[in-house]
Amino acid sequence: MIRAVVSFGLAVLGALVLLLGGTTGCATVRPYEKEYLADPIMTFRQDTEEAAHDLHWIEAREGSTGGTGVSGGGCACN
Amino acid sequence: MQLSRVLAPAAALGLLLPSGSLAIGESEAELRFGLFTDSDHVHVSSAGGAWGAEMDTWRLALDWLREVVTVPGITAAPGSQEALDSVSGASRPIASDSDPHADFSKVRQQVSGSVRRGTASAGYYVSAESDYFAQQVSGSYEQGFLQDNLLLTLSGSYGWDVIEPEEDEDGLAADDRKTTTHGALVATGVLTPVTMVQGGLEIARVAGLQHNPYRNVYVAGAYTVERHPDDRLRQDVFVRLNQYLPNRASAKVAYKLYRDDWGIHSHTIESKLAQYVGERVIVRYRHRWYTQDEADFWSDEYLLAGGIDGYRTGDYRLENFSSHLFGARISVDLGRGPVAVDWLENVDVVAKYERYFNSNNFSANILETAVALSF
Repeated sequence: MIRAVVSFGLAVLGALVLLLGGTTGCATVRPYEKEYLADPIMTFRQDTEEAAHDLHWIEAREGSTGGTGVSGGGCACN
Repeated sequence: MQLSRVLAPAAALGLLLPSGSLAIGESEAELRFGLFTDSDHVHVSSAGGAWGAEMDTWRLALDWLREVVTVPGITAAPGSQEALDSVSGASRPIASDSDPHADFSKVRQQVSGSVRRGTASAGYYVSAESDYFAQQVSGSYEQGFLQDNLLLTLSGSYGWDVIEPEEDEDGLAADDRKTTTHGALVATGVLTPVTMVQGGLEIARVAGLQHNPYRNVYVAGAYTVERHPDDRLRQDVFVRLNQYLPNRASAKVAYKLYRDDWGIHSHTIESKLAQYVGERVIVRYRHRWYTQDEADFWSDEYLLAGGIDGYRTGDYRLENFSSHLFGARISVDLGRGPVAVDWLENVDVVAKYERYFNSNNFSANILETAVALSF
């Protein structure tokens, strides 16, 4: 089981490094160019908060979890 | 009783927060109200709020939530699968002196707080119900690279839950525990001035009671208590892409791949489209598609007394199914636009309606409203 976890983690981590490191390494966006990225309709923060909020009732209907990067606290929802 | 169980640790959390001569800077507060109804006639009404403030180099945040869950009286035989489970998870106990055909209600109180300084943060969560008490501590650290065009966040949490089943005439009433250890690594990258991407990896290990103490399963000709494994390793990876579009709009797409050692694999694809309408209104549409396969020990019908490998379940979350969620969200900034009212500056009003349905013939309506204020 540990071997499966390690291999899965390494595979995903490698993919992430390639995806993000490769793409962001090609060009640097300067702070004054990030106006659109700071717009409320663009930020990741709102998505994460909403996903964490939804997690309680979605976990009560579906067999999987995650996708937010944060862990929801426990409740009898499960 | 429940309130004190939440407030006591929350008050202890307050004592740990930085205090004294710290000056409160920019603050924000939010009030939320929600209503959840599903095709099983379960109602969940919720009221909550959040407060956050800058205090010198610290950032504090508090969040509370109160939910009232009402599960309708059963129409099937007490103890049968048809009589149990709900979208809220409020599978109901049936005491020997209660009326199983009357509505059952319970309240859940939740408080969480976090403190952040620089790139590190720590948090605490507590939730109390009549038959469930949960606590969790968490922490995270983030580091920027490439002139903050790449941000790596490492986070972890540990939760410990106490399950105290109420009297149930045909279930097991013994107290039990569950712990959850969770870790995540998330990378956020800026690709262009209008494109961002985020990817993450999560691992969680859950140990302890993971079945419903009130639910019975039809096994080899008779009802018996549900039994799930006591250990579960859950893993997922996700990728999100946010793209700014012309005419003040944005498109977001996300994908999640999940698997666990109970044999469940799932895929989730979500898309969101947001658009400014005038100066102060944002309309957002959302669609989410989800599919999963079944757990190794899931069966429509258990023919052997022990179930499969000693486990048996009546939980449809462990079977093969798919679901859709779609809806719209509208937010109005009352302090902007040509007819803005001064005293409503920094006030946002949000309303959301979404509909959920799945291939198990289940559907739900979700209605939420919120008022957010920054000062």
